[in-house]
Amino acid sequence: MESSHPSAENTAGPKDSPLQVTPLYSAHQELGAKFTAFAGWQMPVQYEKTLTEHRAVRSGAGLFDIAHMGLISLSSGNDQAEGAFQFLEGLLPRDLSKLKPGKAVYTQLLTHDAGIIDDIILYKTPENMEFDRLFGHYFLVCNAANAQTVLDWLKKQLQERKDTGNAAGLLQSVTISDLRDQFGLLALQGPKFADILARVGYQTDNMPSRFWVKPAVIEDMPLLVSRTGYTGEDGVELIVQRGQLLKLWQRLLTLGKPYNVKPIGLAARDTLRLEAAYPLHGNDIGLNDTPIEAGLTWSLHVNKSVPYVGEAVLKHQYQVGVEKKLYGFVINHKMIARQGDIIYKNSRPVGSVTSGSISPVLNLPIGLGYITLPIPLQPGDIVEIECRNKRVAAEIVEKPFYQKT
Amino acid sequence: MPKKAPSNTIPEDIKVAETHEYARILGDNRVRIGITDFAATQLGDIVFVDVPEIGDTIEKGESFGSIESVKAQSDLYAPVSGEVIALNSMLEDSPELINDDSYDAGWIIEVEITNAAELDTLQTGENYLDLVESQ
Repeated sequence: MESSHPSAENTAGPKDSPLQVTPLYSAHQELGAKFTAFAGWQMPVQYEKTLTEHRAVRSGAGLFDIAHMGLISLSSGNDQAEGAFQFLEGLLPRDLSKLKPGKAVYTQLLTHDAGIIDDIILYKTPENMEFDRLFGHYFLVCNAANAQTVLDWLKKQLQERKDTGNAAGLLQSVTISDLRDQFGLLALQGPKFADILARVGYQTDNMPSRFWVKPAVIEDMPLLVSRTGYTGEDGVELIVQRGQLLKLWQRLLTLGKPYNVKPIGLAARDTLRLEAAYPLHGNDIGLNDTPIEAGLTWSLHVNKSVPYVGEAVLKHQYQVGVEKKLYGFVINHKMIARQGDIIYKNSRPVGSVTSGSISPVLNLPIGLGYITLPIPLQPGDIVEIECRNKRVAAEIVEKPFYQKT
Repeated sequence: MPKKAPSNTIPEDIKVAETHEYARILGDNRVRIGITDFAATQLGDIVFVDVPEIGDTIEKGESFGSIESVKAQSDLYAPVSGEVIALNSMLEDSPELINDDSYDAGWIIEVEITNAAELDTLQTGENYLDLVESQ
């Protein structure tokens, strides 16, 4: 047997530096987890079986250690959100002017060419955050692999704006803080998530709506409950003091037992997000892709009134359209297309696969890939993908591959 | 958490190729071919198995099919030469049998061997386990 692990390379962190671990490392070991290097962190890739974990999230609930993710806050001091607002509004391709405290939005940090530095969830910090002032006026969660890049980029952008004096008065008070040493995230995802939260004493009538965040207290632990996730299921991401992550993890697993909650590794996190057609930065989106090419136009306010980074390219693409697009496909053959496999149309190479795996729900190979064609493909169109010297037919389908009912 | 104990024994009627495929001797020049428990564990969740048809011939050392797991694709190399005389139809709907029970329910193809001497070129289970443990 000879194995190919096409996507293993870009998930590993810097080769020479030791891997970091989250406060849950020993708990994962006790659960029998297998580990993998991911973005410089030693993370659980699987506890039992990837497919079992995947199905547990779709039918019950799953608990994810995502304490490796980046967590950064922005404050403009003196209880005035205005400075932080002006800074972010001048950066991001999304209109933040109507954002209320406690609202979360999906957005991207872009280069001037509208390449994607990272995709993030940005929160306007809820009011009543007396438990911790560190969350400032806005905070964001970014990919673990990009946490330092995002922090450095934000600081550089802020310094440039402070130096040029444009709106400098308000921006002078803006500070950026890395919160990852003090706080960490867990994700509880799946149809039974609210039942489990109720079991640990959470007042579920206080549950935030989708893409909102609220402060709460669970067993004397102050935390933030965010109704967000990366699985295609309903659920929450919990932000808690790093020293309390282990206690919260254990309480959710123990008290969630009647609901068959399972710990979920990175392998199932990947199949879950792919089934939901959520792009993964580093695979499906990156510096050479714009949000419009990636099919993320829904998250943009291209023509918002305030200039932002990447504006010229986005406006142009929005107006004239793009030939390169991220498509979803299924393969009616027992072959999984892997990252880097070449996509053909009428025997001509037209693109490549960015993510490929099985959809456990459809029991079919699925994937995402960029295809560049003057006339866009439609659902039902057939392309060919070269998987290990074999051309297999793939059908273009609507994204997502799975939608919860 | 239920967890399968790592298999550290291989049935005595099994011989193993260095490429991790085994041949289980059934008698009358027939063998069942599969992959070792070690290999299945390395691959992780197996989701598809691509195999030849009954009547096809396979050549020792040549690829006769492939396995897709969630994380990777692997070619299968024939541990011995022969003609395919049966397929494990259970794998069609339950490829995870290779993960769960690689030496019994998780066999892949049954072959009538053309050269019994090829079996002598394979490792005993004990030697194979020494080999993978020393890696």
